Amino acid sequence: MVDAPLRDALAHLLRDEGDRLFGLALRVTRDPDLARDAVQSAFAAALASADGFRGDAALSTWLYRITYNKAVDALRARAREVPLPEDDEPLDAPGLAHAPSPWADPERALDGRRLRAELEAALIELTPLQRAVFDLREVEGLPTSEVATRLGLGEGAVRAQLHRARLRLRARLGSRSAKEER
Amino acid sequence: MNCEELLTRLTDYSEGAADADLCAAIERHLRECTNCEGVRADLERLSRLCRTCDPPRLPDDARADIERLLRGDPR
Ligand SMILES: [Zn+2]
Repeated sequence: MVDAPLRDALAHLLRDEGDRLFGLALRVTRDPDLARDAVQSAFAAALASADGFRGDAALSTWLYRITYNKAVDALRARAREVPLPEDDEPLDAPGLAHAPSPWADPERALDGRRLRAELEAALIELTPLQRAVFDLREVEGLPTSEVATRLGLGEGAVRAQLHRARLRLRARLGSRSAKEER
Repeated sequence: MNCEELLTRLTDYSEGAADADLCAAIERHLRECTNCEGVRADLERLSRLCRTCDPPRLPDDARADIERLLRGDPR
């Protein structure tokens, strides 16, 4: 039997954070159907294990973490034969930095709409964890400490994944513009 | 500090996680190295671009399903 206060709290969170939770799941999965399933499963899991959020984590923090985990589970289930990229593969920072700047072409640099569309497409370069860190830090604008809490990571790990995400996205956007110019 | 070291520490720097000595070394390098300064500026532009991304919206029917779940209604 689930207590009414928990139902009310979750209903509030659905109203206030539903879009953001979906945004996180969407960026992690890059698939609207998987994303909505992840959000629904997260609320179902929250409802089912009322004890899970008692402790130091706020209910909303906990819900973000479950949503992230459900999104990754959904990806794994769908791509069972294709292993997900590793989060800790070596970072070739100089190699990535060598890519041309996405802002080198002035016309493209001013086209924010086009750049944003290319940015969403370039997320495919990242691991699911990097996409989650990217969404919470760069899109939602949360401080790294809060991203760390929501994903259950240390702050150093968040910065490391964020850095990989940033360098990879820059390189992908940049090499795309170089290709188009040719 | 060489370019490789700088390029691995840029996010620590921009996120305010570098101590005073490291900040000074990074800033010295950035003043003298246009390549690394260009990458730093790009990462800043990238962050600004992201802040203007359209927030996705949870589809209405998914929201309704979750509301039903929270009310304990059968499907
Ligand atoms: Zn340099």
